[in-house]
Amino acid sequence: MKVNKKVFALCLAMMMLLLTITACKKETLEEPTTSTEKEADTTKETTGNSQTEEAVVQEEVIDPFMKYNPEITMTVGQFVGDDKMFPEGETPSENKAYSMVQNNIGIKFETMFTAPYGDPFNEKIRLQININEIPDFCTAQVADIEVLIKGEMIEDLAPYIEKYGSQALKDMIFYNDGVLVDPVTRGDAIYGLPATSDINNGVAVLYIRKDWMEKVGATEPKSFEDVVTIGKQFMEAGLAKYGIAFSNEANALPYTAMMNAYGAYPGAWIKGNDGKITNGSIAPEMKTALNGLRTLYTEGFIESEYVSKDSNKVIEGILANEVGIMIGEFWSPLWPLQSGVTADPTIDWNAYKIPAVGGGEAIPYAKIPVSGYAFVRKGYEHPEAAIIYLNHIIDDMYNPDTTRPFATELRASRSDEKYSGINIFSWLPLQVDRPDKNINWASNLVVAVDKKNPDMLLTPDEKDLYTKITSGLTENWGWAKTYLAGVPTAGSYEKLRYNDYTGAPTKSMLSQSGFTSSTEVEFVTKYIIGSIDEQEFDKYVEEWLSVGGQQMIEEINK
Amino acid sequence: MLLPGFIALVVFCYYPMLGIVLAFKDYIPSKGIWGSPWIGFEHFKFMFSYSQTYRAIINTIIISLLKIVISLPIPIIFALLLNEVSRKHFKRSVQTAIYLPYFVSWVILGGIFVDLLLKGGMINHVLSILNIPPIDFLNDNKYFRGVLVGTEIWKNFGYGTVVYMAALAGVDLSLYEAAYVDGAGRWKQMLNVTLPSIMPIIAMMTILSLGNILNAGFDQIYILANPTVYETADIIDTLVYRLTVQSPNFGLATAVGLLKSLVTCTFMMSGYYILYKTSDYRIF
Repeated sequence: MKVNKKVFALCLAMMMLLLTITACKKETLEEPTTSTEKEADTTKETTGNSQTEEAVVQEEVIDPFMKYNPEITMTVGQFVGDDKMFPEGETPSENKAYSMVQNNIGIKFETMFTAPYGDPFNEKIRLQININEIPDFCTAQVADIEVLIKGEMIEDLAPYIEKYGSQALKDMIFYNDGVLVDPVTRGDAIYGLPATSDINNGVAVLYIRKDWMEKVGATEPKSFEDVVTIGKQFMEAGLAKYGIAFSNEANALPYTAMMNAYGAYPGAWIKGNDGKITNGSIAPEMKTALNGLRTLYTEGFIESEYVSKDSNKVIEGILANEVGIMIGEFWSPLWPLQSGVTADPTIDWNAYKIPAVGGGEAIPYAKIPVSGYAFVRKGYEHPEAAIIYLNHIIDDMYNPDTTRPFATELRASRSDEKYSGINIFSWLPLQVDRPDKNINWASNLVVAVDKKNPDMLLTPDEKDLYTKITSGLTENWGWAKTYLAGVPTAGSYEKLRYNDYTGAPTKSMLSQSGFTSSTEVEFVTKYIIGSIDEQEFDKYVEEWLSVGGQQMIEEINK
Repeated sequence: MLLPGFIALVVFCYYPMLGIVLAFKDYIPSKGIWGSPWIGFEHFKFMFSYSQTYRAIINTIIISLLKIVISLPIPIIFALLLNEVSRKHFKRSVQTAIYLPYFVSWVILGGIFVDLLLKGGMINHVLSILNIPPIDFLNDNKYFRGVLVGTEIWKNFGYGTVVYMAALAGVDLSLYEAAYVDGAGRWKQMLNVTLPSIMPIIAMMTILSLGNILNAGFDQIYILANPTVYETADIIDTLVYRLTVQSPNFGLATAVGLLKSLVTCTFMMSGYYILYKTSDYRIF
């Protein structure tokens, strides 16, 4: 009897388990089918274009802007920005952007997972890679793409780009001799589509308090020494507590940009005169530059307590008027500087190029403007769909006069009340931005504002910005500063320094970079605050090489 | 009736433990845990070839021993003192007040402590009023471990106090009456009745804290430390975090985890053995 009871209990437990499993399954299965039916109906209504249908049937005539009929499904990993709210009734996996793709391109996205944009998303996709369950189409970081290529988990997209890519797409992907896709290119094979962003992302811009400059009678800095002098004048006048906003985060902008001003490029791979690539972190210039920063620290130009402050604390300091010089990017006026101006409209900032030590302009380090690469899972039935999708997505950016259905609906959605102020583009799995968009806008806007003539602007976005800039409102200060000063400044450097090694991360780079950077960060901090001797530099170089640096250099130069 | 529970235990607790083989493998995701090639003790060798590793191990043991030793008597003393308080409201409010920080995350406390302890922070401001030169608590290797131990105890001693208070409430009142009849005063009662009665709880808390010998408090140190004090504060967890956050190195992380578990296991077992021998106390 006792045994029977046990068996009975076990059976019951099993049954309950099975019931929950089937119940779960039903739920997930039912939802998509109903919605597909609904969407399918609308598809039938909205489309009557027979030409595109033929294109699918006849292989010979390839239309880069074709529409799948019958529609296909594609599982995707979708990132969601925490600031992007969906209107009522729309979710990350069912929204206007998705239905636009479904109705006009015939691709139905099914989200395998959603995760917040940035590190959480990168960690999620890394996890999916590690359990070998990846979506058909998804964005990942270069290092993860390398893992995917090694594991033969993703498709070579080169033949599909060649065959199905529109001219705009090819222009974008092969921008500047293909520098954007270099990291995911292996021989002739290309394993990822670049998620391009603005060409000036990461390019340093120097911001100095304009109102304070007027107070102390300072003029535009011609050399980095001038910047230091201005900072000291601010301090002497009792306006600032320290010279420059400087955080303790490894390789954060103020640090790298100041090192660049001294001619050092920490963290970058640099080709020497002998044609061999070495790392900027151990180059002799590094020592000169660190000595410079060390002096600035002793002089109080760099805050004595910067080691305890992360970037959030540093921003608090800027907004609390503790400092009048900061190094940011072209968008810094929008964030964080706008908050300070909103609180006190007498505050104003000037934007300058970073000057070099000894005069002239510095050559700032810049990364290629790609935030990740989209891959297609090996074995997915329609690998070309990724290319077709991207053709449609960028159509409007490169051809303002296009009348293709996707671009038309996209444009209509922009004037839709429901989506005002939202970039529905950011709801899509692969986000691309025309690399020169802001530069083009800024140069048009500068002229238009100068001539007070908004009619010369072509796109609605530019007209919208023009209204904001010329409104003179305090809350639009950031827009005006960004497009009239930030973008033009960032875009006007004579030269930018890119990584001389653009290939995929090598084996030791993947496994050892933690060790080299840990060694570097500790050394750099101690050196700047002067807690170790100058002679320690050679010891640091030795250690850096021994914990994997030597191996990386050898692998790269192979 | 035990069977479903047992199956769940095997499936969710023991089966995943097999994943420790990763410590001896070069993990390649597409090949999975079992298909990845064996590389023997490569991860361990590499770990020990790095100079920062030794420093981290030594720091871990020093910091956690300091924390364990210093934080052991404080809640006991506090509980005994509180136990003597007769006013119920006062007792309750003190208990609640000291217990509260236990629930606050280090992320929040870290921000508060940084503001307090900076060279231009509040504590140094008070010191300057008293004409004492400012102390750089967060960047000076001499003080940083003190900061770690102090803040950790301040955050957690309320929890220990509550546990001991509960143990004290369970002491048989007739024992006190007997001691009183025998002529024992307050002090003698505490020494001969209270302490022996809560001894098992003290022993258990000690063994449990020994299990943390290699957990010197990742979140606390990660938030409060900066490279200038790595010399005295960089522990195994923060080092591994720095090494693996940039490049996912599952094998290395597993190897360190395995090493930590082995050392912790040894410490717990020896702690248990010592207590068993000295005070004849046993849990199992």
